[in-house]
Amino acid sequence: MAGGGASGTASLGAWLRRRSWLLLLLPGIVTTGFLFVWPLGIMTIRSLTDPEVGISNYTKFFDTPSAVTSLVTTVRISAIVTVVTAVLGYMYAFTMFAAAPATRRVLMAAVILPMAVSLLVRTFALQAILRDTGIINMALEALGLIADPLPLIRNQFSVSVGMVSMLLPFMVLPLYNTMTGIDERMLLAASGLGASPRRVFLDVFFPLSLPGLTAGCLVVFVSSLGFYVVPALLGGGSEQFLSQVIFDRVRRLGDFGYGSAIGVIMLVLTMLILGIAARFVKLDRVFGQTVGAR
Amino acid sequence: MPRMKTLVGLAMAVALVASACGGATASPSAVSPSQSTAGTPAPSLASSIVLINTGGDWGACQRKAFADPFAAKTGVKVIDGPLMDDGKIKAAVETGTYDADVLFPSANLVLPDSGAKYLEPIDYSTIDKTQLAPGTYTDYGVAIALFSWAVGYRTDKQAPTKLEDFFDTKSFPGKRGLVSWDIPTVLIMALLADGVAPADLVPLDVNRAIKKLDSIKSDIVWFDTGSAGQDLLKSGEVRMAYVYANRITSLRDQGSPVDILWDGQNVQSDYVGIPKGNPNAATGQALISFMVSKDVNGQFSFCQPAGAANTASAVNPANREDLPSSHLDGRYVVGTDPKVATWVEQNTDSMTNSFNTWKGG
Repeated sequence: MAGGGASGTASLGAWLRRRSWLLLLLPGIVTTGFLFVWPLGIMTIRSLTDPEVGISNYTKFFDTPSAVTSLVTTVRISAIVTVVTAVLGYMYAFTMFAAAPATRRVLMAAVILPMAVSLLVRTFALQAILRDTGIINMALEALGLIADPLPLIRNQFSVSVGMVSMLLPFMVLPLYNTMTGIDERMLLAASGLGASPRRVFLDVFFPLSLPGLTAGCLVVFVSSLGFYVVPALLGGGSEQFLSQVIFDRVRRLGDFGYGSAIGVIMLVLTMLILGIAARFVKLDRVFGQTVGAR
Repeated sequence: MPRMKTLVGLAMAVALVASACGGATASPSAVSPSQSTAGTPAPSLASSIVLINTGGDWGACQRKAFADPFAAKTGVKVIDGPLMDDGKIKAAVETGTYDADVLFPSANLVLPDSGAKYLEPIDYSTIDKTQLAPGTYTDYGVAIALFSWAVGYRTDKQAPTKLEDFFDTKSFPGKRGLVSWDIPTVLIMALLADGVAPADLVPLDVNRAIKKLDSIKSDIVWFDTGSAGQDLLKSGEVRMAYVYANRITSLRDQGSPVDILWDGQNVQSDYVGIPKGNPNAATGQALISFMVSKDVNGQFSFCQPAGAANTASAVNPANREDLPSSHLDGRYVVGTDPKVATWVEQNTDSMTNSFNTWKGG
């Protein structure tokens, strides 16, 4: 036994020496395990055991109309935001792609710089712009164009505007990246063979830019699902996101079990969407490609 | 005066030495407060104690009125702790991590059932209960100050004279601010405005309240925090808001055209309590009985418009009119009264569901 143990240790040592690069993974594994896997595990267990063992928290969620409404609202607004961001983002990225280098740099800065300002600050700024006594309504009233304030805030519109403005960079960057990766000779070949600019775009350029579009949509949609600050500050009573329900249950009522269950439901929903997406897109490209290329 | 300072300095020195000898936790060798405090020998005290301080003007006032005088009197250093709501208090007790020794539990948490689980019983042997305002103390928590929810309104438009005017959007057109997280407070004010007498509130008729609220639904602006509600009034985004009265006072004092309608105010206890199993409990008890004592409690009103929970304690004559406790001759309800809080605790789920379903619909 002692001999076996010694040789076992020796071979383990040799194995480790050959794979010393594994040590480089250690900090990452420990951090992920400690800060991510462990709390998620606790959360999942808690959702099934607090206040009693079983799936009562989950049945409670699906039996509560307001909770299900929140789930639907979260998915619906996230979908709207994704579509709007995709359209705006595509136009923006294409402009950047087609523009002269100097203009391109300005456009790039305009996308990146706002990200340096805290999301909270930007949301409060939008509040000051959109509300009844905000810049837009006050200006229109002063000009005599409207008598009553336009309903710009505390509705689905304001939440969508806020989320689109926060998420636009995450659509523009992968799109632009994909566009610059497209071999320009293909576009030249297409027009050389007699295709109109419109056909070059629709039949060659657009299909080749699709991976970027899918990547952007995925990132935007999945991030949207977890938004809290924007719906909390710009939404009214009827646009409650799931994250707000969780906050309310945990912070105000100390109801960890139910809050955890909603968290797990959101997690499963996100995994499902990523799972479905993975059948159509190469996810490693989606998350690995924002750096690189040119 | 110099002699007084010497005494205080001496007490602090003793405290330091004693805590150095006695170690970090409360031990029998730690310092005792002056024996004259309550007539009976006080329990041994730790060298320091953590009292939640929510910051801002309120927090500064708490330090001036309660924390510093306690430190001066007993030599116990009072450290500011971060806000802990019920969720955090429960988590702290469950994990035995006592980041704070004296905290602010909600009216629900100080009720017998949850109090027994998460809080130390209050030691009333050093507190004169007969001086405390009725409905502002339980076995597990005692109010150190009274604040209130009341209608704040813009004075640049016609002023409302009664709570009913909040729902009269014909005579008083404009948006109304209501708090989104404190559902019982919103329901209670709707019921009062609908003609329910304060004495007949419990059990809350949730459907009746929702029906009343529904009559002005399109004019309601929901806000999350006191400062958000204050901001709605300040900017004129709403004409009236049911907010913390002290928030209206401070707006008015800063020059905003706003004032308070006391009719239908909802008086709230600012409860303090001690997390269950806290090794510093004895010192916490001493701090609590100090804060609610007759000589100390009213001091808070000298720096904040909050009512004294100890009715025998003298309050600031200068801001008497701004104190919720000065308007108890009108229509009001104590929202944190154990009778109300018990109903709320037992019906939280159904109440929250009905409310959210209506609000989200």
